[in-house]
Amino acid sequence: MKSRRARSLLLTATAWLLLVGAWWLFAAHEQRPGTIWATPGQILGSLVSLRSAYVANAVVTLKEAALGFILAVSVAVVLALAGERYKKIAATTQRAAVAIYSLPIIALAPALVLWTGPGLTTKVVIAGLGAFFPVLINLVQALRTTPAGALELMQVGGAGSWQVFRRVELPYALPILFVSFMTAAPAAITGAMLAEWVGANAGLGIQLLNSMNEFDIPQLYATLVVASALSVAAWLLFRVLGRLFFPWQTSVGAGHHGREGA
Amino acid sequence: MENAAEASDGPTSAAVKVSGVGRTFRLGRRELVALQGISFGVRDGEFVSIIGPSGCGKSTLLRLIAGLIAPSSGSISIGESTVREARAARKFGFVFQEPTLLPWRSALQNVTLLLELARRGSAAERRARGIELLELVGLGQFVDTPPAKLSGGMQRRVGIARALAVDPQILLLDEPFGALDEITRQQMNVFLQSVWTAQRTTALLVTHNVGEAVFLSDRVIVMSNGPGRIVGELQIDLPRPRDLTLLQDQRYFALAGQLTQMLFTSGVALQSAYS
Ligand SMILES: Nc1ncnc2c1ncn2[C@@H]1O[C@H](COP(=O)(O)OP(=O)(O)OP(=O)(O)O)[C@@H](O)[C@H]1O
Ligand SMILES: [Mg+2]
Repeated sequence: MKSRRARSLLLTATAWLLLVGAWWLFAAHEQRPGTIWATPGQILGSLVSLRSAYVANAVVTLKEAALGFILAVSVAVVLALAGERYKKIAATTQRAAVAIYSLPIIALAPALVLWTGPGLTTKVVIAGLGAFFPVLINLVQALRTTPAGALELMQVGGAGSWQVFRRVELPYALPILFVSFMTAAPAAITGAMLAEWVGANAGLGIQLLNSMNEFDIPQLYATLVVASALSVAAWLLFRVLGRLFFPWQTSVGAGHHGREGA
Repeated sequence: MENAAEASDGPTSAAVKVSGVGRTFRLGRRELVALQGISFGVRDGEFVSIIGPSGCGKSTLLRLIAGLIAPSSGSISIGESTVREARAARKFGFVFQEPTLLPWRSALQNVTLLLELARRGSAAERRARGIELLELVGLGQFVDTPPAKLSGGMQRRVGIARALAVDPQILLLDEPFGALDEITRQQMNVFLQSVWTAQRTTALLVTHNVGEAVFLSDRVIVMSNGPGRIVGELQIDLPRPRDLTLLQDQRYFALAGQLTQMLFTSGVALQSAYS
């Protein structure tokens, strides 16, 4: 088990090294005024020299994304639970959710700015729109696919609908909810950056725009690196939390095979 | 008597009474008659086994009796009450064909789950009862183990302990020992018999195993498929308590042979099972 994990880490590290190396070689040989490439060295340089700007902008974007994520999760959870409880509204909310999801956020953003002004609200709503859909569909699906045997067991036990929900449906759905967070959280970050493009003073999205306008190519890439790092961190956070809270989730599929730390 | 198309209702105090029950499933546009014209009774405290080929509707029949699904025709009563009332009064202990343990609960927590639902006893009492039952089924060492770390047979035994925890009046067992090796199976049979004797429950056991049916039952109901129906009944008049020496008894062999013959001459539609 250990050696397989080590080998997989080694493979990932090698792949990254190769990629960065190739990038570096390519960027170094394409270096002309006005070119679109920056070497990893230049990107790193920008990250170091402008570090306080990156941190400040990242904090702004993260705040928007976090609020949007919380909003999205709250609405999605309420809708999914309501749909589960009152089956009649389930189809309607599903259709509305699909309709909203199919709206291009980039087109929606200017309209939202017109309604709510260029403040925090717009960013939170747009970040939330990015995160909303994966949470909703995963939770609805999870609540619907509670193992039939577990439901029959509760029926034999004379459980009421609240007990069934609390003892069986919810515990089976929660790990899947956390898996949906792994895609929803990065989506919220992307959504927040997108919203900033329509009008904002600070944030990674604005930094991206500014560096583009100023032809500061290293800063442009460095901003991308920061944004990706945040997304990966968000993904990782929910993966770790999911494994921590729901250890059986990994052991269900693994059966009797050894597990890390077991 | 033995090959009567309809099994007898038994004397007056019927714990379970199944009258003319049929159940149809809709499979897309097709209708599948899983059970047709099923009538039999189980006396209070009686141990009855149901034996029949795969797919003849045995699990469906147990589900009907426990009220997990409704019959398409006919009726079922549990003592003086309806199935729904009996279930609300938590009269049933159900051992499912699949272990159906909740993966986030330990073996003990799975056993005490239904007691928690019924709000029966204090937490300490439930725990004590759960440990006692796990020891009974030979899992005293695995009280805190999660299901994923138990073998298939061990998971099955947790399921049995769980069904017994509520002190059910009617124990419904759907091939509880199907996944066990022969030795463990025979030990579990002896164990089940002692539980049934001690608790004075009524038991309805679905099995594929002729020996198991003879060893445990007062009466065996033989089913056939296409559509699922009762094709015969065999009274097992062996003295109790029965122990494993019975497995060398001539009368045991005779009854097992008789039951096997009933199974094979009952028009089991093998081709439909394999088509
Ligand atoms: N929920 C369902 N929907 C549709 N068909 C069903 C359903 N449950 C059972 N059936 C059908 O009813 C028939 C009887 O199934 P059942 O599970 O009762 O058989 P069984 O006798 O328990 O078989 P086995 O010994 O293999 O467990 C089968 O043909 C099965 O396909
Ligand atoms: Mg079955």
